[in-house]
Amino acid sequence: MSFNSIEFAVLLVATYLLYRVLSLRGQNTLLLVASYAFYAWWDIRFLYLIVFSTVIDFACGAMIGSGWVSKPNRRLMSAVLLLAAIAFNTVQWQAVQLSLSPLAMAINWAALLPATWAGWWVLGATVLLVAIAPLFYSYSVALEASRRRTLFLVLSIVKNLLILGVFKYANFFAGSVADGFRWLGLDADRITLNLILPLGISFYTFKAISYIVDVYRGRMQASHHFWDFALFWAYFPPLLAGPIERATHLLPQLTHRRHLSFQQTSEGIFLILFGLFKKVAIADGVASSVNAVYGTTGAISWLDIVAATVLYALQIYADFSGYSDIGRGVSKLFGIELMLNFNLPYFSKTPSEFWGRWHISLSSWLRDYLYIPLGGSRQGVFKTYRNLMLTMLLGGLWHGAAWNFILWGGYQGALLCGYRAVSKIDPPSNEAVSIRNLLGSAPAIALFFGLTCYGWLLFRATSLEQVITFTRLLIVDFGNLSLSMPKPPLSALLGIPVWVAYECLEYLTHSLKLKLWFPTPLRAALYATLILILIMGESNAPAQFIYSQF
Amino acid sequence: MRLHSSSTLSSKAKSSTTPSKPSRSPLQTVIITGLWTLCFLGLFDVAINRIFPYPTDPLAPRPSQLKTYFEYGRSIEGKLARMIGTDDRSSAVLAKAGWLDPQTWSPATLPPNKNLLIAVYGMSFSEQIAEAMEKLDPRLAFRRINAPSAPPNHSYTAYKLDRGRHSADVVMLGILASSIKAMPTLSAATWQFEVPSMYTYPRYELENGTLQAIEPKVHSLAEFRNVLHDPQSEFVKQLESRDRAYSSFLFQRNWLDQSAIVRLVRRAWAQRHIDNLDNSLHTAEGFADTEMSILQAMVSDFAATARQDGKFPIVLVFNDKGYEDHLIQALLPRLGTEAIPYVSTHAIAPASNLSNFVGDGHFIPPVNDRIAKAVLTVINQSVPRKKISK
Repeated sequence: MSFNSIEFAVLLVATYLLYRVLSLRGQNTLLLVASYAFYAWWDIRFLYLIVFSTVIDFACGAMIGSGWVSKPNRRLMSAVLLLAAIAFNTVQWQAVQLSLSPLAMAINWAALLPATWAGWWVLGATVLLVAIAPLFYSYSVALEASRRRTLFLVLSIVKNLLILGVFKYANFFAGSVADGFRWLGLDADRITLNLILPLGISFYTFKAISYIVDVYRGRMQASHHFWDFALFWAYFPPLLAGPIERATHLLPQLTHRRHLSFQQTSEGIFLILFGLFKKVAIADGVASSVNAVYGTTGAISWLDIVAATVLYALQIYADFSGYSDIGRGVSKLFGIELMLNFNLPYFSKTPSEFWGRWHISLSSWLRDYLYIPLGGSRQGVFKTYRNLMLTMLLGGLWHGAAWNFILWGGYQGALLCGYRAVSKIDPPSNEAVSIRNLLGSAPAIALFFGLTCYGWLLFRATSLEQVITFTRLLIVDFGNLSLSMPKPPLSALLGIPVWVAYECLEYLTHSLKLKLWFPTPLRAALYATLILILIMGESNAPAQFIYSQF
Repeated sequence: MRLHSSSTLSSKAKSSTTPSKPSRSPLQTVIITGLWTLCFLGLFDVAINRIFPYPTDPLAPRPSQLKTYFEYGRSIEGKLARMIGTDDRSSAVLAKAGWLDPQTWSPATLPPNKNLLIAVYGMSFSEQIAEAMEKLDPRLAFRRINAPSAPPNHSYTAYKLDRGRHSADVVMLGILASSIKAMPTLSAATWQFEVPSMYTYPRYELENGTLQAIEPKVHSLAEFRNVLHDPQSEFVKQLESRDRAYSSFLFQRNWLDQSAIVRLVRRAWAQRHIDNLDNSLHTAEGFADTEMSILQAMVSDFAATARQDGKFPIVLVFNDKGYEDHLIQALLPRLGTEAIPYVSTHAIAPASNLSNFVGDGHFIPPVNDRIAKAVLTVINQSVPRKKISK
């Protein structure tokens, strides 16, 4: 279910109205049901993956944190796992045809259960897991504490990375091996895999790892309330495209009564509106122009590449920050704060500043769970550069299993190393700014924006050949101003200046809640402008959120 | 690497932006802000209508892009009503385009100074190819039967109606990939929402392998004029039941047409509605089998009857933007097995190469020239020219 769909609007309104009248337990149950419905709308089979991971991570967290899991919780986990395997994986829901107008349901009983043994393997494996779990539990509680903690840390991380690896990277590596076989003239058809990538898998995998590591490091208590933990795992606003919430930040909010303030609600509604405006009017608006250039098989000019890449820089920012804004806005309606994920990234003057402003939840995750454990910048110049390159390469790979993402990660790592070598010390990024300051730093901002855009070219390219062709054209075709790229629609042409002006004001006033300073009429004018342009943008061809596919 | 923690950013943002305590209650604030927002939206609505008025005269020259943009969302009836004058002479050109009336088609015979008459049934794409062919070989004469973005139903029906009414040696049937979505419709008024034409055509269905036509209740502009303001007319009822692109929210004229914002909403709705129709007939893999079976039957019948009449049939397959080579892939088996002469634009100018197209989606002139040359080659290989009469 996408944030910009009618189905989501219905789910949100229904959940919100019910939420207002329920107690904490009721609210959490409601949010969990809504979260499962939100995910199942895309493909119900993958809900099992979420339940399975929830159970394993809950158990591992408890075993790391306190060394035991209560008997009721163990029974509950076994029951939930078995039920999930039956409901989400064994039952073939396509055999049930539901019609809303007129209301009717038809069940093809013959097709309700799997016809082959292969269709039963998930249930079989689950039964086996539930059967051996008590034995494994008895064995592990008897272990010495530090060994037990390490065992469950490794178990949880391996489980998470294995799932991520199988679904996200198996296709890529199998494809690469197959290409190698074909290059050698060998039959490669058997190597090709066609696994469906579960939506948001990269986001929820990193969220789960951070929980386990934080419990292991003693930064937080392990959760002993299964349903609260299940909600933390599946909480729908950040589920598909982040922010990658830390358990230290999100779990306490889920276990305590929330107070819904008027300011929080109004901020939430504004964030939803602003996020939709960015997604629908701008990101979806420029998508066709960008796709036309990056999808063409014919001749294009220097200006086509430059224009399409700058538009892509705006598209991916509008799309991704739009998702984050909507997610944060929706969460605020439930009184739950999510972390800030974007802070005016295109005003950055250096790569380190950029990574402090772009996809903050990922960059801070990489810093805390990869860069610093690798040694950070404390082990000399060479190791610092090595750590930066490794972190960014893995950051690139996190985005997707394709060579262009690895190339993009390498490019970002090289930029970080290069800027570090040249400047030694990063300038403070949150310094007070004025128009004079902004004009003074404009060349640095523009230069770095240009470098960022080249990174987006690597990111957006459809093949390595395209990267080479476009890079060559940028050099040899320099200054060719013929433009065949289709013009973006009016919603984008109007929306982009409004958005840029608003961000400039935010940057100059150093305020991410700028609108709160506006007098009521000015604020209302802003709302009306956003609504008008959003309505204009509704005619754009809708596209899936880019980052929900990662 | 120096990365901010989220808490630092949030707290900084908070500390620097906490607004002064509001003196109004939350409910008052909501109501006042909401009213102000509505006022501004109303103001925008009025301003758009005042700044970008659309001419009401059917014969007025085409207005500016922005004026057209804000009118796209007017109801279909509203747009059509503005195009139709009291008679045909005072009606817009678009209102008169595309009606299936063989009496108006010409020439029927080979004109003097020409050595080959070609009858072309299609749309603007085929019209441009005919123009390019005429430039390449001025001794050619064309009997052009076109309609804006004509679906195959229209071109095929025009061909059938035209049988026996002309002496052309070559008959060409143009099929446009982006118009396939109009096959389950009866009029260009329903599926060309933004700039609707009025012409009608039959919808075809296959029954036991035979094409069955569902004839529209309206066949001319005069008949259309009569039913336009009558929501209870048989034609509107027929559209409701047999035209898959019909939607009463998009079609019927009412007072909401006066609001620019409602027009924008209606345009967005229309986009989704037509996209849904298109997506039900065309996916990333290709066209749906149902419509392709009907189209293949049309193509077979076209070629067979043309040969029966002693004419040389050619199918022009226009693979336009967004449809890759799906149309020719779907037709190729039938064209191959029945040895029907054809020219596919995909082989000459692939749809994935945007430099082959101008902004409005048509081919650029050099591409039209290349397609025209390909068609001429096919004709010259099989059709002898007549002696030019002076």
